Amino acid sequence: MKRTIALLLAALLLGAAGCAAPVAAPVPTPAPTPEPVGMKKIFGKDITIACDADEQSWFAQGVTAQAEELGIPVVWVKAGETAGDGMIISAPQASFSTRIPAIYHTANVEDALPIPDGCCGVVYDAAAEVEAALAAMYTYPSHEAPVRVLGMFGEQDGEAHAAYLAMAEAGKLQDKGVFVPSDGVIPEQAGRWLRDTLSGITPGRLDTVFSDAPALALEGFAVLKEAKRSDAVEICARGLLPAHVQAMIEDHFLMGTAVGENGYGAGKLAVRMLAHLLAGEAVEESYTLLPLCVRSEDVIELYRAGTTEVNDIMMTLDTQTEQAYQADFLDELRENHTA
Amino acid sequence: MALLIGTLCTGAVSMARDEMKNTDITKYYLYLNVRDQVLTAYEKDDNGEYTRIVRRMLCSTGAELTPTPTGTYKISGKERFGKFAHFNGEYARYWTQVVRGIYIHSIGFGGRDVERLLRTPFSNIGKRVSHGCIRLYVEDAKWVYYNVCPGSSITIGSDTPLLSKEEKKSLKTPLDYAAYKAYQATITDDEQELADRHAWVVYDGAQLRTGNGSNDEFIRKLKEGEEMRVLQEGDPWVKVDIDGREGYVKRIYITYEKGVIETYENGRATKTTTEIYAEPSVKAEVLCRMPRDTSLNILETDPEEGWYKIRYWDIEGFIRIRKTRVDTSMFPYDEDAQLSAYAARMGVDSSGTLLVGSAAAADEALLRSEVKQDDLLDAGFAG
Repeated sequence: MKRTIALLLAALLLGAAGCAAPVAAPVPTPAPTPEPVGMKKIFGKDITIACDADEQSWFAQGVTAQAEELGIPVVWVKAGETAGDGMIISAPQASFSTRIPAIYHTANVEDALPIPDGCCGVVYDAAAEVEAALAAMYTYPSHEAPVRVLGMFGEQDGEAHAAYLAMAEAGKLQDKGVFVPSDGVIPEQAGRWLRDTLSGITPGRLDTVFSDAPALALEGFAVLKEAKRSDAVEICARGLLPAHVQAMIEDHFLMGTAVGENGYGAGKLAVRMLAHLLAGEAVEESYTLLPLCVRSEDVIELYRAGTTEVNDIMMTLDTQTEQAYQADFLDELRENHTA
Repeated sequence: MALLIGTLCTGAVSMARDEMKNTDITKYYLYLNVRDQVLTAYEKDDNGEYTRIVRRMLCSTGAELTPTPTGTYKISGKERFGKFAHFNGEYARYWTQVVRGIYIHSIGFGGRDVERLLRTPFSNIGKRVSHGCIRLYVEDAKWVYYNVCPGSSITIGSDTPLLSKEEKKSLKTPLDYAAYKAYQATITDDEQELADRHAWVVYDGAQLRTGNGSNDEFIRKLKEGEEMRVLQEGDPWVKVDIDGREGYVKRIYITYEKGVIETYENGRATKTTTEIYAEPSVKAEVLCRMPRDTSLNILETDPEEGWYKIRYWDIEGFIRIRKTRVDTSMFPYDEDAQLSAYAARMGVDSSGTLLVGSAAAADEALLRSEVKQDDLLDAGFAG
């Protein structure tokens, strides 16, 4: 059974309305200290899960945080290794099978593999990312006429570059210049190009610097910050990292929008799904997560209201993974297994 | 100075027939430097000051004999692809009203057709050649149209620093006429224009004029009940199309709901273009200027000192009472005589508030209970 989580935020990203009217972020309330769920009681023994993701990754942060909350130790293993009572397999490259319950995570729905018995997937729909990012750039308030854009791309004639040119052709954007690296994505090279190009643009004649890769956006942010321009130019990033959200906190005018996967939320979701599997409960075979559009105005509002940690901000803004968790998840486990 | 609580009146809001992309009247502030021929849109910084430049737009403003009026005004009506009232066969895209007949709009077209961009207005951009309107490139006019909503402020003056020659040159499109003509034709609207509203004449003898002012050329008298298509909503003037003829009629002569007379508590209106001061003194800062015939939202009155405290959009300030009058605009001929006759018939003195539409229609509406008794009493129709 396949189920796609198509929530309002994602629909806004992809639809004509785009992100034009961001939903007002709720004022966060301090989360109560989670009570131990009593996993030993649930499973009749101590359990351990293993994960082969890069321990430093955002996804791994989510895995760690959720596992700690449930009182389940995590063993970090290399790709292809198996350990513990359940596995979280990150970005499997080939068909795989496992004798223990497993959740696999992949950042591109097109790379999703056939799901072996006893496994479930958390799949990010990266194919929708380009369209969502360009739509976010176009519909952001203060644009909506042809958006005046500098584009920084990872490759000539790549998916994003082609979509960008199509928008220019359709009168939706005014191309003020494009950077395409001569050999791979080199942020410093893009930074130099952006610095030179910006100096030739009169303040008030540019809306956005669109970046096709997360690292380019961060380089663009650094250049804009250094330039101290008097006009309202912001970065619109395809791809989402904690560093982007941190940059929004640092200067919400310059780092305007980032569209991508909430890796932290995906990690938390994977652990919850695995806990369900380990408890012998049925879970969805696959959750497809759509790109999340993060606006700096929402981030700064939360930050000013007291939510200062990037991951906490993400979990407040990310309504789709929040719904996928099911808010009463822990209560359900308790009720079902500790009576 | 003792201020007394006065009449609270409500002014009608101009609306476009397109959904605005922004409806916050304080989000953007426009400044037009007529010396520079540059229109700049600002937004607020974290301190709430309009310091962040959102958009700089090269423009053409009024020629020496037809200058664009200076001062601060509130943005009003909108029209997507409008025809000039005074020039036969000339059109422009993305109209945004500044004050009375002064609009921000695109450079001109020879018809309501994006393929018919005129060469001369394109070549003249950056020069003072217009009849008072502010001409922009199409993309800039579109941005203003969708983002600078009715009620936003625009200041026209020459106080901001001038751009350097190079900066100003950079505002000009690098495209030649043919290339720009092709480019601007790609600029279209994502959504269908909302259907035009229809309106009906409620005052027999209301005048249709070529422009939005009592001095504009008279076209013809309208008959009570005549139906029209509304091209541009506004107050006090509404741009309409009646049987293919475009013109302007005063808001208070028409109704948007057939058979229903709308009450309109416009006790007083501006007699002429009127300054709103921050304090009740002509030496105080001028906050904004209101066009003639604007109905007043009076908060307090001080007849002894000669001032009203009013609200106009988001502005609260003071105007001189002598710059206002009882809104006699429903009497298109000898205004004073008509007013006296009307007031006598309705049993109110000439300073009483009035009702939209003809007295006969008002009576009829009252009988049908479509206008509440209290509304009529509030409006001065005692007895």
